[in-house]
Amino acid sequence: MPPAEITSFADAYQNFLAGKPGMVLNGEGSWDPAASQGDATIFAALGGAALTYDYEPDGTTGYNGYAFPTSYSIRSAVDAPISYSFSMRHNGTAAAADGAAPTRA
Amino acid sequence: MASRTHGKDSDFSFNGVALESDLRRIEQTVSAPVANIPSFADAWQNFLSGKKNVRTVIEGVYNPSASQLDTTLFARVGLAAVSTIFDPTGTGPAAGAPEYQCTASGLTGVLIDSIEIEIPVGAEGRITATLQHSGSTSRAVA
Repeated sequence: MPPAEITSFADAYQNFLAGKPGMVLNGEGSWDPAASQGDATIFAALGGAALTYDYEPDGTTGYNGYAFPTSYSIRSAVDAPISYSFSMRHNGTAAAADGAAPTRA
Repeated sequence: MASRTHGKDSDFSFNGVALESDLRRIEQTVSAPVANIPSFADAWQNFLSGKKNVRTVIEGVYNPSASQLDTTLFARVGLAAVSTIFDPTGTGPAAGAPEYQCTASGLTGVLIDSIEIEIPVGAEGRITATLQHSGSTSRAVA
């Protein structure tokens, strides 16, 4: 939620007004090259339209909507498992780019 | 159950030269920057997806021998794009073993962005290169 600074000379501390909120989802894990797993799915979605997501921290309740990946990294080291990380940006709830908040359900 | 893959067998070729005998770390990052398009009517921020950008960082031990990492990379500084292949499993391209290929053609290919050589007195010499992909990079599975 990018705030707009409104600090005046009379303020002892900085002041802000809230802007429009946004949400970023970051994840990382073990790289899986199999079809329909993370690597194939995320790589194919880069640069495309927002797709549905569902993030459930406890496996039951969570957040869902539309998002697109904004970055995807594969790390291969000689002394470790291959890993990956990604960043996704929320971009709609009932439809892509509808300007609505994520659904918490 | 998702599979796990160790990085010990990864391969990387640059301009047709296999560099895995010197390399010990490869990191490929694809970014897709977004354009912010919210209107006053939107409750939350809105975005449009932009053009993809691929960069690869490779790191290995410093080896000045002919046809090895240092010679191969340094020879291409400031020159036209070349082809690269990143094969994480070392067995690709095949189903379940993708290769990331950037093939030189026209403006497409991989350029040297930077090369860093470190020779510490108490450790092995290291070389790190950042590669800028120009144009498309494909995920080949066959």
